[in-house]
Amino acid sequence: MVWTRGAPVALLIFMAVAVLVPAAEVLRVSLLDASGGFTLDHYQQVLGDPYLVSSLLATLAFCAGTSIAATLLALPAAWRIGRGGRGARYLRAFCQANYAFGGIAYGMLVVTLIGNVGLVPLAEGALFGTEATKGIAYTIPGLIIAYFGFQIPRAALLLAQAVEKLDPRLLDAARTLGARPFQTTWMVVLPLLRGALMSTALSTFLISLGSFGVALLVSRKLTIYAVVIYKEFLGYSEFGTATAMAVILSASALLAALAARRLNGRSDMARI
Amino acid sequence: MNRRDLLIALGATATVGSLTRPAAAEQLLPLYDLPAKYMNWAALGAAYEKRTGVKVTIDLKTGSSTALAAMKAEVARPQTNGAFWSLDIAIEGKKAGVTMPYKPKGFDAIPANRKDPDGHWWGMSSSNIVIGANTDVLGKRGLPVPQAWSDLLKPQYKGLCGMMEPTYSGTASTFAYGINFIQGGDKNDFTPGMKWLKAFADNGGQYRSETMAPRLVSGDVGVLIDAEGNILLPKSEGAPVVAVTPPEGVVAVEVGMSMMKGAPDPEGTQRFFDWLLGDEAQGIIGASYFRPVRPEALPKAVAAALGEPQRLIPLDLAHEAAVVTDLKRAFTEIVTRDGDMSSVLRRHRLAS
Repeated sequence: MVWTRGAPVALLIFMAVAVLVPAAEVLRVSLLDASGGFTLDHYQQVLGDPYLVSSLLATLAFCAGTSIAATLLALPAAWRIGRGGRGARYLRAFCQANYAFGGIAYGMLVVTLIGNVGLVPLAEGALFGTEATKGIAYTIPGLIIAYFGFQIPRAALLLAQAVEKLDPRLLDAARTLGARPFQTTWMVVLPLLRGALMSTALSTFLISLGSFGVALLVSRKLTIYAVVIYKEFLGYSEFGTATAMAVILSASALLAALAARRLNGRSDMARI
Repeated sequence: MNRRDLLIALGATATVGSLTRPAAAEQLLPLYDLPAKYMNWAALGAAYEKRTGVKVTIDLKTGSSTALAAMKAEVARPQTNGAFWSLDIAIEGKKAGVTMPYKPKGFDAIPANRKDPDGHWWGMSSSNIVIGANTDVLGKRGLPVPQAWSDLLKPQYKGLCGMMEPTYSGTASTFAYGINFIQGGDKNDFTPGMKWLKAFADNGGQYRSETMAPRLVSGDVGVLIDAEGNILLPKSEGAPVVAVTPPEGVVAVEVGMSMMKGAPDPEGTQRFFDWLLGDEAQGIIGASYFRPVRPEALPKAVAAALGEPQRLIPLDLAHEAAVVTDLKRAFTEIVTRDGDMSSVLRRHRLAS
């Protein structure tokens, strides 16, 4: 019927408006000076400031590193969810529940768990009398753990989709030929999943770049670029600088996505 | 078949939607920066709603600078009717053109140095910025309650202290301005104050982007620099916290209201502002351990608990407003980015 055919078009128009219009506005503000005239000063300032540039590079490196690690760490969970088996349903539900927390709510959760008086340090103090985990959220390992907390469940769900599509006969064939489980994983499963691993790592990377709720509440040693944008916008009302930084962050993300696609070569599902 | 089902669904949604609208149409008066745990806005909001049925937006855009940024971004289509903020940021707001004048009932009784002559902003209370300490946290470490600003720089309190971020919080930016005068600096040289703020950070002191009084109560920080009212109110409710007024000197944060230019609901805002200077609201402020701008509203018991500081350093609001942005920038560059203090201060005209 007319409605079912029009739905994808309507959705496309909606997404175009919901995403492209605000993005265009951000771009527009980044090119305006105080009196409304065209200027490239904001970009010059942002790209010329060594502190901001190093913050951008550190943020990109941190998000890339944690995303790749999270993707690999998510493999066991993805395997269990994708292949089914004991507890797969609960594991999947746990990963899906993770989507309920976003931004600041997730940052608060991290502080509640591993902040100065978080549940983990309190339990450690009660059980062992030590204070090793007190305030761990505010260190770099703590930040990594916090990022893993939302990266691994989401990566697990994405990878699980690819695991589901794995042909079980290939794995049986490997076992018949005498491969041990480790060899099967290394020589059959991982090459088959190569495309999915890359695209999952990329998705996780893009999500991490934009997530700043955790960083705002918890990051101390590492200057996360999104938090700097927030500070420019809400602390100093420097809309030109903040929007220029936002455009640069988005452009970096897009470039990273293109580079990853180039590295990946062909499609998402690698063939033998 | 599909089209008919769709039309039935749309009709049902419209019917249900129109039925629920009266129930959801409570009276809402949007205002920025009314934090529940700062100056007990939770109680103020509840009292106003009980009296008039109008609900003000608690915990929306908390932080004076945050509220100002939001108002600047929305000046073409105002979404808020006004804001509660520290008066140095209020002056910035007037300069940025986001405020409109209104003199509430009782405006004349406010001292001249705590209000804008045209009514763009007016003080409703003040609170001295003091040292708060959680006695449980300190007791577990066998530490005494710090008594002076210099104590917070000592290694025994390393990693235990916190305060709000001057970039977002008006109280913190007032303190960042005032500590300079406490440490012996003057309007032409902010080096002493900046040295103290840097030493605070070097000793593990955290500058946090959230309302911090609840964190002191929970023990997340052992020592907190905040308005005395935010510490004494939880203390009166049984929390293990104490407030200390250091003898080197304290400064007060002056807070008040402004109406947004082009506010969507000017009459409702005017009624609310009139109420804020009235007996009931000023009484709640006094009972919450803040010093209301109408001193007669402060209960005797609270006045006794607050006491008078040994040395209250008055601040020049106009000068504070003029330098606060440069001060915030210098703070970020020196404390957060380890910049060279003398060159940064010179560049921002805060020292020669």
